[in-house]
Amino acid sequence: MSSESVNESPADTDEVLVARAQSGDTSAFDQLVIRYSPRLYGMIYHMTSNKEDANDLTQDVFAKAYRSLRRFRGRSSFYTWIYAIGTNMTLNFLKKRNRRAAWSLDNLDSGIQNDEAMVDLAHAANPRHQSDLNELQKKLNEALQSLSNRHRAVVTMFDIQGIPHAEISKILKVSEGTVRSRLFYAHRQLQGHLEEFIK
Amino acid sequence: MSEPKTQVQKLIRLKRFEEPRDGYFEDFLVEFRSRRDEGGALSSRLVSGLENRKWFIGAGMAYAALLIVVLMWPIGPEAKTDPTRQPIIFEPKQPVRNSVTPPKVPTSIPRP
Repeated sequence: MSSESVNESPADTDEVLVARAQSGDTSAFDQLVIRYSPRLYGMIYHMTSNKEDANDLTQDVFAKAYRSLRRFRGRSSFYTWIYAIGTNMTLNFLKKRNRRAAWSLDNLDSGIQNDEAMVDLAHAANPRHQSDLNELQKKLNEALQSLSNRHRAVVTMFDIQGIPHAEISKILKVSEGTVRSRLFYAHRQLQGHLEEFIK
Repeated sequence: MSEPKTQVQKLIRLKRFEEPRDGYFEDFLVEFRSRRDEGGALSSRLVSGLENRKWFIGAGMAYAALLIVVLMWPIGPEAKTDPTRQPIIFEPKQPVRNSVTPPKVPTSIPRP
């Protein structure tokens, strides 16, 4: 971390940091960026499957949140609020990208094939296919990209990030039943794409 | 985080190990701060520019209001009654040569 960085104090709750940021304390907002950028970046990255897009979009999300912070009344948690901004902006971005129709699966990122945790978990998931992590990652990305944006959003938040149904329903402003039904449908579709990796 | 129930969920969960390089989020914060400062500087320049121009904008609006009053002035009730302000209509003194005029029909038969 740079010398200019902010030392995050665990005592600073989101509410306190938001109040300080609303009164013009930029370092308080920096702490919120430190706290939530990894999760938000992860969500956007898994939605877009592209590092540069994820970086730009995450920057835009925090910039928008910073500009709109005075309008944040605390009806939901800051976490839900910024996730809702992030999800909406990402869904809009993906709509535009799909409309351009120039997007190809060749643009999907790769680069975790040497990750030890990935190797171990891939082995645990299916020992027969542990040697072909490249193929697994490619297939995972393709399978995720085959889902509609809304289905990918719930899979990303629930299966990858472990966000509970109730929280996802608040972020997406849909019922919990809708979240569950989207997950059910998405899992069925993913099963078809990943059949060769499933026992 | 609840444990994955199906094989599909187990496979998809592997994606959480895709993380950016070390130090990425420190650089992210630096980039965010720099963008925020640029944005703040731009907006403050815009505000100060608008403050300097407010006198010009005020003068322009006053001039426009005066112009509207001047243009609207003749369209008053006295303008309609004032003969000097009636529209001038040009009427030709001689008939136009090429115009077709019907022949004069005698209104009474002359006695021999």
